[in-house]
This record gives sequence, C-alpha cells and structure tokens, in this order.
Amino acid sequence: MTHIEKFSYDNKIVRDFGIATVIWGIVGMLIGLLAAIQLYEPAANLGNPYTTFGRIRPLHTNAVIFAFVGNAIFMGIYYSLQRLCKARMFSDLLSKLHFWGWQLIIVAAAITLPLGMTSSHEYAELEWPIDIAITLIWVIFGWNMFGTILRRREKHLYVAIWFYIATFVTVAVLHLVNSFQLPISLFKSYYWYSGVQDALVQWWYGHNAVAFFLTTPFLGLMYYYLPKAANRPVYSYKLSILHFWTLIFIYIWAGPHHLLYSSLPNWAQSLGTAFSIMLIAPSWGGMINGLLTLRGAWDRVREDAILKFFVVAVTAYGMATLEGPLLSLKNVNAIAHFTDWIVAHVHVGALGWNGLMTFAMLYWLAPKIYNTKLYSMKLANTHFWLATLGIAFYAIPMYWSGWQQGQMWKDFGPDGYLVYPEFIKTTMSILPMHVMRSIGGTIYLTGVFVMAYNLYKTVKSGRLVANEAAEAAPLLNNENHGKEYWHRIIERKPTLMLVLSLIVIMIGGAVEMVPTFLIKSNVPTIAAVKPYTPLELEGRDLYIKEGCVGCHSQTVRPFRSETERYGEYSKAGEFVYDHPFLWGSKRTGPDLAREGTAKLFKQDSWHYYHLVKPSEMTQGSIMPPYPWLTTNTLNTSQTVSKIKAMRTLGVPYPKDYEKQALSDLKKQAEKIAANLKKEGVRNKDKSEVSPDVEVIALIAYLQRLGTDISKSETTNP
Amino acid sequence: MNKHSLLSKKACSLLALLSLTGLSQAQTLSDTGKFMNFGINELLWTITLILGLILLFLIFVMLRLMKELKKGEAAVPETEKRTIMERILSLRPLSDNAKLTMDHRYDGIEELDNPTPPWFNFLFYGTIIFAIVYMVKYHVIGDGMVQENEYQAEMEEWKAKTVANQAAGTDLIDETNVALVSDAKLLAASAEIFKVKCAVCHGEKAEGKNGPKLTDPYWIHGGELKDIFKTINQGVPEKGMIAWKGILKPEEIQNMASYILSIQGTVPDGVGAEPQGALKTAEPVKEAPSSDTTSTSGS
Repeated sequence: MTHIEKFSYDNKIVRDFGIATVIWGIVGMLIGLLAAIQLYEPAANLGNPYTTFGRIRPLHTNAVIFAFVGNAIFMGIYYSLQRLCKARMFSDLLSKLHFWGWQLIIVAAAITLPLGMTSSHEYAELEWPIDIAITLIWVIFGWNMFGTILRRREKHLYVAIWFYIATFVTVAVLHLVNSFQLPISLFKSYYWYSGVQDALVQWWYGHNAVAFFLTTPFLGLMYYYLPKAANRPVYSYKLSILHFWTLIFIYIWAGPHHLLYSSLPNWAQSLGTAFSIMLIAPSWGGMINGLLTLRGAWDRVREDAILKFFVVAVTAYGMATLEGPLLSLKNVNAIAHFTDWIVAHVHVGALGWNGLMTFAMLYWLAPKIYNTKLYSMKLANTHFWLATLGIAFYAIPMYWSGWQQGQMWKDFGPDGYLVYPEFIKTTMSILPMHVMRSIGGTIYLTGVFVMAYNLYKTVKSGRLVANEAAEAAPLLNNENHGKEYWHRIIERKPTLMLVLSLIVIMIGGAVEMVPTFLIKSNVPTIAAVKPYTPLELEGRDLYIKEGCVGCHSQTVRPFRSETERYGEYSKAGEFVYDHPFLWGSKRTGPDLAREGTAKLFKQDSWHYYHLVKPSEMTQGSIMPPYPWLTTNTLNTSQTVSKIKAMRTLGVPYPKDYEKQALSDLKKQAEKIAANLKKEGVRNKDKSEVSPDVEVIALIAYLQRLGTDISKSETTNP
Repeated sequence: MNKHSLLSKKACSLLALLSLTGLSQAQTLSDTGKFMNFGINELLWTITLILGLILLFLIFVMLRLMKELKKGEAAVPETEKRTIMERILSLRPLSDNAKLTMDHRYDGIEELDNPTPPWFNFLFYGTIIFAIVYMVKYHVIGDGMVQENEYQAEMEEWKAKTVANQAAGTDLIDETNVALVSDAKLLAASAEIFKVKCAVCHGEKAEGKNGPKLTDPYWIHGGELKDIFKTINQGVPEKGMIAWKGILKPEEIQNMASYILSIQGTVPDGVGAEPQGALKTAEPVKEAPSSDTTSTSGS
C-alpha cells in the first residue's frame, strides 16, 4: 500500500530566472542594435573604446547566448524538471547560488569585455577567473538538477530530461576543454593550444555551444512546453529516441565545417562536412515531432499567440538546421563564409528559434506561477507579428548582403582581374542592407518591450505562488517491469543516461582532435616561421584587446580570388606560435593574414593615419577610429612574463631571452617611431610620436603579419 | 485504384515542387548577373544532385506503391479516409491516437507510439549514404580534389586563359610598347584610381607626401612614359612603392602613366614635397639632336 507524499514546487526560482531573462534579453539586444548601427555609422561607437564594435560584439553575443538564452533555459528547466520528476528542486540553497552566481558571471562579463579583457575565442571570450566561476556554477546547476532527478517520484525520465542531461554533461566537457589557458595575470591568459589546433578546439567548442546551449536544452523545453500549451500528445516516442541519440552523437563531429578551406587537415574538414549533412535528419526529427504534436490543435494556432510563437520557432529551427548543413558543403561555404550570410543564418536561429521559444515559455509560465491570466492576448499577438516581421527584416537584407559581397569578392572580369580589387567597394555596396538590418532588429526589440509590459501587467494582476502544493506517491524499487521497449531501461537509470551521453559525445571530439594534436604531418612545420618579437607580441595582445578579430580574418583561403587579393594562401605551419589563433569568422574588413607582405605593403605612417582615422585613408571605411592608441602608453610590465609563458607553451624563445626582451622591444619601437618621424607623422600638438605608445606595438604586429614565409619579398625596412 | 491515382498525384505535386525550387534557384543566379561565377561545374553538380534526389524519391514512391498495392490485394480496409497531407507524410489518422497513446504520462503529457515516418528514415539513410560516399570519394579512392589540388586546377585554368588573353593582345602592354593615352574619359578614370590608391602617399593632387611629388619635372626613376610605366608596374619595394602589376591591369597602368604625364605642372613650385631626383627636359629638342638635353632646364 503506497501512501501519498505532500510537497511543493519552487516557483520563486522560476520567477527569478524569468525576470533575468527579460532584463538581459533587452540589454543584449540593445547592445546588438548598437553594434549593428556601427556597421554603417562608425560614429555610433560614442567615441570611446568601451563601446566600440570590437569590444561590444562579444558582449552582445555573450549577453544574448548566456544571459538571455541561458536564463531562459534555467527558467524553463527549473519549472519543468520539478513537475516531470514530481519533486521539489533538490536544494533551495543551490538554486539560489545558481541564480545569483550566474547573474554575477554576467555582470563580470559586462564589465570585463568592454574593458578589453578577452581571450578572443568566440563565445568563450571571458578570461580565466570567470571561466572558473562558470565551471563552479555549472557544477552547482548539475548537482541541483541531478539531485532532483535522483529524488524523483516518477520512475522514468521524460524525453525533456534526456536533453537536459545531455546539455549538462556536454557543456561541461566543452567548457573545460576549451578553457585550457595559462594565466599571465588576473585578467590575461594565453590558450594552451596554438594555430590550427586552437582553431579546431575553438570551433569544436563554438559549434557545440550552439548545439548544446542553444539547441538541446531548447529541444528539451519544447518537449515540455509545446505539448503543455497545445494540450496534445507528443507525436512519436520512437522518433524522440532516434533523434535524441543521433543528434547528440553527430553534432559533436560537425565543428570543422567552420574551418572549411582553412589550413585544417583535409580529412578533418571532410568529416565536418559529412557529419553536418548527416545532421539534417536528427535535427528535423525535433522539428517534425514538435510540429506533428500540434496535429489537431491547428485551429487554435490562429487565436493563441503562444502556439504561434511555438510554430514559427520550431519552423525557424528546421530552416536553420537545413541551412547549416548546406552551408557546410564546400561549394556553398566558398561563397557564404566570412559574409553576412552567416550572420543571417545565426540570427534565424537566435531570433527565431531561441527568441520565440523563450517568449512562448514566458507567456505560458507567467500566468501559471502568478495564478492569473495573461493580461492581453492581443498584445501577445502584436508581439508575435513584430517579432516575425523583425526577423524577416533582419534576415532578408543579410542574406542579400552576404550573397552580394561573397560574389563581389570572387568576381573576375573577362580579362582575369578582380572586378573589385578594392575591398571597400564591396563594403560600401552592402551598407544599405546594414541599415535595413538594424531596422529589423529595432522592430524585433520593440516586440520585446511590448512583451515586458504585458508580462508586468500580468504579474501585477496576480500573486506569486512561491511554493506550489503538489502530491505524489513515492518511487518503489521493486516493480516488475515485464516486457518493455529496450529504451525504457535507460529511462529509469539517470546515471546510466548521463554516462551514455558522455560516451556518445566524446567519440566525435576525440576522433577529430587526438590525431590533429599528436600526428605531426597534420601541421607541417615551416622553418622560416619564427616567434613574434616582444613588441609584436604586445601588439598582438592589443589586436586581441580591441577585438580586431571581430571584423578581420587572418587566413587566406586557397582560391584564386583570395590569393590575387591577399597573396599566398595560409599554411598550417604559419600559425604554430599563435596562442590563440586569430583566424576570425567574419570579414567586415579585409583579411590581414598577409598585411605585412610586399603585395599589401603600407608604410608605417599609413597604418598610423589609418588607425587614427580610417576613413581618411580609405574613403567610405566603416572602421572606427582608434585615437586612444596614440595616447595610451604601452603597458610593458607583463612582457617578461608573457615571453616566459609563451616558452612554457612551446614557443622557442632562446634561453634567458626574457632578460633582453624589454630592450629589444624598445629598440624596435624606436625604429618604428623614427620611421613615423621620417614619414612626417606628428601628434595633434605637432610633437613627435613617442616610441612607447600603444599604436607603435600594433603597427609592429601588423607589419609582421604573413611575412615569415615570404621573407625574400618582405620590404619592411 | 483510387489509391493508385492519389499516390501518383502526390508524386506529381512533389515533382512539381522540386522543379520549381530548382527553377527559382536558377532565377536568382541569373538575376544577380553572377551566373558565371557559380561555375558550370557547380551547376552540373547541383543538377546531378537534384536529379539524383528526384530519382531516389521516385524509387521510394515506387516501393511505397508496391507495398500499398500488396496491402490492397490483402484487402485491409482503411478505417478512416486520410487527408492528402496525411498520406504524403504517411501519418496515421488522428482517430488512431487513442490506440497509439502509450501507457505513461509525465505531468499530464502523453506520448504516442507513432513509428518514425518512413520518409524521415529515408532522408536519414540518404544523408548517411551521402556522407559515406563523400568520405570515400575524397579520402579513400582519392580522386584527390582536396583543396590544394582544387586550387592548383583553378590556377592552371587561369594560366591557360592568360595565354589566350595574351594571344588576343589585351595583356601585352609593357614598358617596351606602352603608348601615350589622351582620351579624356580614360584619364578621368585614372584620376579616380589615383585618388583611391596613389593619393595616400603622393598626395591628393600628386603634390607629394611620403611619396615624391609627381607634377614637377624631377624624377627619381625616370620621367618618360615607359619609365613611369615600369615604376608603377614593378614598384620600388625598398622605398615603399608597391608593384601594381596584378592589381592594376596593364592597360590601366598605361592610362595611369599617361595621366601622370597629363598633370605635369599642375601644382606650383614650392607647394608640396621638395623636388627629388633628376631634372627631366619637357620635350627632347628636335632640331638640335646634338645638344645635351639632360642639362637644359625645362620650360
């Protein structure tokens, strides 16, 4: 005879994460808008380093991914997990620690990124102390979640929880492997990996951050909130099983598709393409199961804004996950990579899938936990149309722009010459689309404000049910399960599920990474490639600090259109001393991998003038001015430890080189200052440019770029 | 036989849909006027892929058809008429939901025991086959068209074209046969290029900046048309003047050299950079070939 246990669900933590979701959503999107406007009106950087594109672009991505979507994930999981397990969260204290810890991390990001403290790995820009904090908070989240699962009053785990578990375990692995850094100081570190290997780790991480932070948790949430909101049964249990396991297994392999036509070994690139194609069906499994769950509820979609959000969100997911594999085909990638096409692609995913799913959950949850009704379904419908229109106005101009610029870069006239040898012409041709994009973003953001008002009014009309009473029978262990589908066994063994997920996601990463790290032939060395001089190294760190990598790639792809424009295509051996790699993922400006070579040669004074006011040297340039580089004194207090750290990481500086590093740095800086003087450069007050300002180091670095393998043609005096 | 016609209808509509997408793709390509860039190889490749997909789809339809017909022979009556959409997606009718509902619910959520749709499996197996063929083609059989070889092929194709171009005469201008251009339109075009590419070092009006003044009669590397052509073409790397060969077309370099000559004397003495190099006479004195032209001052 079983007795019924009484307990309560914690709704307060759900509410807290909900509020954080809305606030950070607005913040993240506002920063995105600011960044978008700078891409046609550079003066929108407000004239200071802290709000300049290079620094706020990572702030935008981090805010949207980890603050907006992250809080939405936790909100959704904390509500659904309790009900699916018929148990209160394992520990209220852990819940609180998780919530406040996560918010603190976000605040730390919002402070450090504008200050230029960045590791430069995309979507993992935060410096090492914050990385450690993330690890701790993630463990707290996992502990709390697993504790709840172990205390559940429901024998089997529902499909939503499978996705939560896979999310937890994979993000943990991704974060740990991608955070191997050697600290130099409290907010500066170098990645353990270099060049090609660093690129592989970064995109294994970057791609799977999309997979396991933006996709799997949301699929889990879809499996709870969509059938709840539609009040329909989930279409197919078997499809859930099939697409869950295939999705997490295949996703991990696809990272190298971000590095097609780079110096990553060919076999790894091909694996990236092949697995991306195989990813279509597992991704679509989620979409199909979601949309078919709505069978019999389609008449309600017309009135119910929440269902509308779900339908468009799931459809956007389906479109983005078909487009992704197509972009992984080398011939499509050859056109689309580095262009606005990719920006359009990710925003269909972020605005469409993550954004609309989050809005749907918020609209559904707020009245539930406040025991009231949604203030206005009409406003919610208005929001839906604003959001959908916003996405269209955002994505269509970006697709257009990406296609157009991609074609212009590759355009050869019948005489065999590039039709647009000046990069700036291709930039100027897409600026109208950039304007349109920011309008689209504004429309989308307006919708979020409408939602915030609607939710505020809803909450005001009700009262938070902080502890929602519930009851259920405790779990019995001696049940006879009889004949059952094989997967049911895994579903009642959460630890087994965790271990299996871990194994499944480790395979792909291991197969791709281990050989790239261990087999020498994958990164052929080039004797002419030498470590950076101390001044160049400092210049490189400035390049990282200012976020130059956000707009300038540093890898020339093996196409005639690129070798004609930039020079010899990049080789793996050129990057062996690059901790971290700086290949970039977007060419808002031209590639800089060969900036110092004779083909692209510019005098030191050109760089100086260009950094102070780009539009003066390149008419129509949308690069922001960096006047502060000419007044900030270069901080050389860490140069010695940087050289030592680099040696630890395997960069062959001679023994005791650190002792002469500073005097070498000074010598090189004086040489460049002398060049500037000779070329007639003066400060605003007519004084000579001092050798110890930051711009000198950056010029040294830019003049070094790409010169190693073409020493004979290097002209830099 | 009703079933049969429905099936073929569904095949027809899907075929139409497929060809429409194909057409619209071709449309976008030609709209942008960049059709050629896409390359005939890619086009053929795409068409083959689409045809392959259609073929696979037809095989699939045939198999389904045979299965359905067999069922028909076994005379299994359908309990409910399904909509065309449900037939296309091979879905069970909604009224079957009660039968399909599984015996568990989570927080009120029920799950149905629907099989994965056959077309879904078909898609999945198709992509797996694609992936295997892809890996085998590039890395096992090794027709070798990995990126380095692809690049080499592209360059070879270009070289062949260059030879053809040279034969046609468009690439043949060099310092030995460069001719003075006086067409105002061409000179104006050069002026534009000058602003973008040359003004950085030589000044907006060629008055000289880091690079020397180009409007005075003093020349470091020679002031004749052929000298100027050569300087632009090959550059003076040690001084920071890059070689424009490959960036500007030979014809453009010819126009630029002519443009430089056309703006002689447009910046007054004393404005801009100091004179550098040797003085050049304005015109060789025709009637006095014996006189020393290099030492007479220009007018």
